[in-house]
Amino acid sequence: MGRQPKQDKDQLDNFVEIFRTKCDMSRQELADIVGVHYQTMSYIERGEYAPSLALALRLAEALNCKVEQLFKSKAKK
Amino acid sequence: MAEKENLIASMRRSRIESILGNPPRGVLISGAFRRLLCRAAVLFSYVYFAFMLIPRTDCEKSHCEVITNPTLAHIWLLIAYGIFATLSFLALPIMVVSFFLLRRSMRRVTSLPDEYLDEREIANRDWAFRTGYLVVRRIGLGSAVALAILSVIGFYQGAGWANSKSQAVLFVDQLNGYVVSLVSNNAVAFFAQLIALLTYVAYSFPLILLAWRESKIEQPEAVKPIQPINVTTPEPINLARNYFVKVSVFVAVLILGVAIQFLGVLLPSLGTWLIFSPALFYLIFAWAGYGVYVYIWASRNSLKFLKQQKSLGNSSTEVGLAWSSFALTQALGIALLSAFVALVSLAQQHTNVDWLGLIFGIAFSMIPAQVLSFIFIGLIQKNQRTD
Repeated sequence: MGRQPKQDKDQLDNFVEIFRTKCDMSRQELADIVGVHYQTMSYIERGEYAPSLALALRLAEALNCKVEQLFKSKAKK
Repeated sequence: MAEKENLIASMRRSRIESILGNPPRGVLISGAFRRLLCRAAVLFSYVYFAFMLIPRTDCEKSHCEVITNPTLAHIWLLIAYGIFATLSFLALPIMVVSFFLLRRSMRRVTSLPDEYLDEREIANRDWAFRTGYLVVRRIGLGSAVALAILSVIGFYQGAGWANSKSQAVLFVDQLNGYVVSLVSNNAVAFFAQLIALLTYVAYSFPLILLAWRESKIEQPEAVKPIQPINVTTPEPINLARNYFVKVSVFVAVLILGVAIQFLGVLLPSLGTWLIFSPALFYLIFAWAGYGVYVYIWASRNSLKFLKQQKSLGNSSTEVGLAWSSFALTQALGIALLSAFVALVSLAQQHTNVDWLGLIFGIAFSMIPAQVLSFIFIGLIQKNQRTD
């Protein structure tokens, strides 16, 4: 019983907060642009939630960068 | 058919509007408070369940023995039973309040359709409901298998095929005696409580899981409700329609109750059950509680609406009439409270006033007064839409 811990290969390093700060955007503003809840942005930035490809693409578009700049697999290290 | 579909669609839209228009605020979005509610719901469910498992016959025996043969052990047993009984008495309201507060706190995620939620919220909601279902399923399966095994052992014992001195047979014997002592006072009440507790677990467990998971991040939730992607902005909440749905449920239950009473007169066995079953009292309390909720909800929202009209400078006849009926409803509310206080404080004294009749009279005259107030509110909203 209980949830399985996420394996390292499934975890992502994310740079959303860095890019968001560069763009001078608040979490709420970014959340509104990509159409998610404010709390979801917090979870993504803390690495507690890995977004879907569609959301990752929306984030990249909103932050004017590429998806691979925003998220990197931890397994590559 | 189309009208029925329209009605369902309109009720659904009204519900969505109500959720989007009233996001949880204040303490309801605090992670610590959500965790406290989760702990209270789980802890007091266990307290209630544990209290149900105390054989009443043993307690009654202790009561008698304290009077006839007051030993220290019996007194301690009685004190422990008293403390536990008080806790379990508190458990029921705490469980109900925790559930409704959790529901209010997580209502956006649990009740809105997918298009109003983001992918993480949908995933979390699905996980919580799936886990809740699996847990309830496992409890059900586990209990069924255990009881089936015990029944088989009991059957062998009854048929005299098994060694009557075996540990298993003795255990089933003891278990049978224990279950009989649990249900000996009121079997219907025991099973009703058991089913109610399981239903509570089925309803509240997914909410607890969800609230616990959503309480990880302490930052306040955005007060502004998110708008769904590719979904048009909903119209302002139709206050009058929401009220009429709520008051219709209240009146429908009242009519149903009266109909059941008439049926009880026609069928004596049903009548006896109605008089002696606690189910009727629970229903009456639930119905009265719902009535109080509708009254408070309606008073709060109509006051907010009428204040808003005042700030907008709307001084139409409908606004004046809505204010008058609102004031009448509030005056009746104060009169009802005063009559109730008088009934409680003068219960031992002989008075010529039929306080109970007065309370019912005031309560029933409050319904048309409040309905009138919402008819005018409905007219104001209709006029604003046509403008």
